[in-house]
Amino acid sequence: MIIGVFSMLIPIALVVLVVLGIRKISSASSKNQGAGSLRNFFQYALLLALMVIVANGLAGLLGRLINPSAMVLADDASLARNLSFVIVGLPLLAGIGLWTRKGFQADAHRAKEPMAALFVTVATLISLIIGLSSTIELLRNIASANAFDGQTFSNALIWTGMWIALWVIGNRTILARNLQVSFLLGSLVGYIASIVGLVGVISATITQLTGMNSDVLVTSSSHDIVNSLVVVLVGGLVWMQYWYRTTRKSERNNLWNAYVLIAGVGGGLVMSVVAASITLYQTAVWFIGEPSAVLARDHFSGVPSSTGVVIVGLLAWWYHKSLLAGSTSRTEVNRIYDYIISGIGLIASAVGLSMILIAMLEATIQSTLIVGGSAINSFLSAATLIVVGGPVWVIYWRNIQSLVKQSPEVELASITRRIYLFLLFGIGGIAAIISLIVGVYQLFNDFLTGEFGSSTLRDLRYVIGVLVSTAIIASYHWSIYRHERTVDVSFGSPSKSVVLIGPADKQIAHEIREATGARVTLWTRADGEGLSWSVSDVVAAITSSSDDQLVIVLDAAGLKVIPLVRK
Amino acid sequence: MSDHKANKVLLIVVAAIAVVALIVSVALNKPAKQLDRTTPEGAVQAYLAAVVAGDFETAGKWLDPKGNCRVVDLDRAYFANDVKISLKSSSESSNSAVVKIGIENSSGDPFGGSFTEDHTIRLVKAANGWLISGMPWPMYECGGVK
Repeated sequence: MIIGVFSMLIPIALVVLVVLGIRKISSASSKNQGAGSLRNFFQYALLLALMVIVANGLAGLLGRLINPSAMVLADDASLARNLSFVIVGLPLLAGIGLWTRKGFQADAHRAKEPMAALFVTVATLISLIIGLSSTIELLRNIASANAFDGQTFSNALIWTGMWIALWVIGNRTILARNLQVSFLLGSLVGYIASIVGLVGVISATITQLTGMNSDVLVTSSSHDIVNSLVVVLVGGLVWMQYWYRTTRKSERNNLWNAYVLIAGVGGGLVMSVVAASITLYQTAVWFIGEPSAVLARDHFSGVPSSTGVVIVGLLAWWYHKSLLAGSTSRTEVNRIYDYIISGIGLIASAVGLSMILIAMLEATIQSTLIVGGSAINSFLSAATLIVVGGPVWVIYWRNIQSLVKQSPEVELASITRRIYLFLLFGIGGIAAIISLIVGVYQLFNDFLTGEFGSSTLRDLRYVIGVLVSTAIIASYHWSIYRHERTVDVSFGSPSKSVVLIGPADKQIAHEIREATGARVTLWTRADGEGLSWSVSDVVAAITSSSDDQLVIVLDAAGLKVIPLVRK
Repeated sequence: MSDHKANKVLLIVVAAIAVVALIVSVALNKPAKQLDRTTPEGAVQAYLAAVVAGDFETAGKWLDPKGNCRVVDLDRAYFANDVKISLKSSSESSNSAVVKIGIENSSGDPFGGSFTEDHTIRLVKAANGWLISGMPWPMYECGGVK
């Protein structure tokens, strides 16, 4: 056991030595930025490792202390490990924590370092996920009146406590702008947990209401509705803290828009469309196709879940879309979203078209299948893909094309549009050429070996299906690209950089950024009392200037615009 | 729609779903219907209920004495505590019956995921009802202990 403890201490001691060594080197040459960054990396990595070690040790010891009677055989090895984690890890964590704090107090610049924000992001996320899952398990145990598990309780207590401490420390020390990724990831965790819980609640309620669980012979599990409500409650609290109280009100930059558009609007829409398609397919198979289940209850057993996914997906889609209602400017993130959804719709339709062609060829050729492979079910799944994917593509593609008509100089120069067109006619074209080569090879092979006949056509069904659909897609997008290839694509518009110097105003930077697309920084004047910004004047000053870098100073006489030289 | 209004509507919708779910949970939560013990389905239900409750002595009484499986085999069997067992189908002839069941196990993730495995239980007709033959769930090995 002693050897085990020592072997664990050696790597920790080595890391401490490395940190101290680098610290010495960097203090000898304070201007050595590279060594400083390396030191910070090791310092935060050590802090993170110690945090995980101490939290595990404390949770293990507390769990053992709460219900020792639950243990039939004393696990001395785990006790020794947890003791060593706490005895060695806790003083080290306190020491390095205090050292880090001292560093922050001595150098205000450290709060702005991305490394510090990265540490807080990773540490908060780890403690959030473990705290969330342990709390859900604990509340489920309480709700179902199961035996109280001390280990679950101590995990929930220690990791939630760790998360609270990191939240408070992070918000006090780290620059809020650098914590945006952490807040968005936390929002995503809460969002996913709430969605899963809410789908479970709706699914279990529909199952109970329709009597679809009347075939249950025996159950030892706790109530499904209560279990899912616990997930909604805990996930919802996380979402409220991260999204509603924090991220929702933060700066609406590209990252914020990407989260709302891709995770919120896009995620909600894809969830609903996929679940609705599955339900549509199941219904069609039951009435027209060849269902594998005899009883309707078995065949439609997944319908409560997919109904829940449709409802929750639409709710998520509507909520996140309504957040963007006030935003007038169309950014590259909006374009990425439009093209992704349009692409998903188009690919679904193309797969559906291929499957229909394959099913038609199969139906015309005498089948050698003995069991399985229902052609009608294949046809129905293909029809579902076209019925669902087709309208999605039409709606989004028509919207994209109407925006192109409105402002062709911006939309046609978008890198997202160019990538979309390249991918579709490029990949579609490559797939069509490969299908053609394979098809011609099979034709020649059968002809030369004397096996040419109806089986040749049967072997060619996949090739023909893929060739026709990809050729249609590739040629359509090629015809569009042909007219646009002369347009120069912009890899992100070279936005202006503006420094505003004047009175404090929380909204001014955001409003100017929204109106002009410029990168705006506000420096507050110490003598700015009595002055106030005029958004229209600042916007006019920026748009009328041909320079890329500007300093705009507001004083009693009005605005003074100072152009800078870009080096 | 403004931010504020959207948040309000979202809160109302989620609260309404939760309230309806709670009402349904309280009003319609009934224990599984007890089937007639003289039928094959009822015999299987009695056996499974005893197994899940940990009462192997009672469960053992539903096993065919001519078969290989004994109560000691049940003692050695492993199954998850959190299970839900559904009746899939049943068929009966003069001396034998087949009951198909679906066993839903918790996957152990925090979101309450589960997976279902299907099992077939065979029964033989005895003087006073039905007895389970073969190697019924949760046993995967019988006759190992003599």
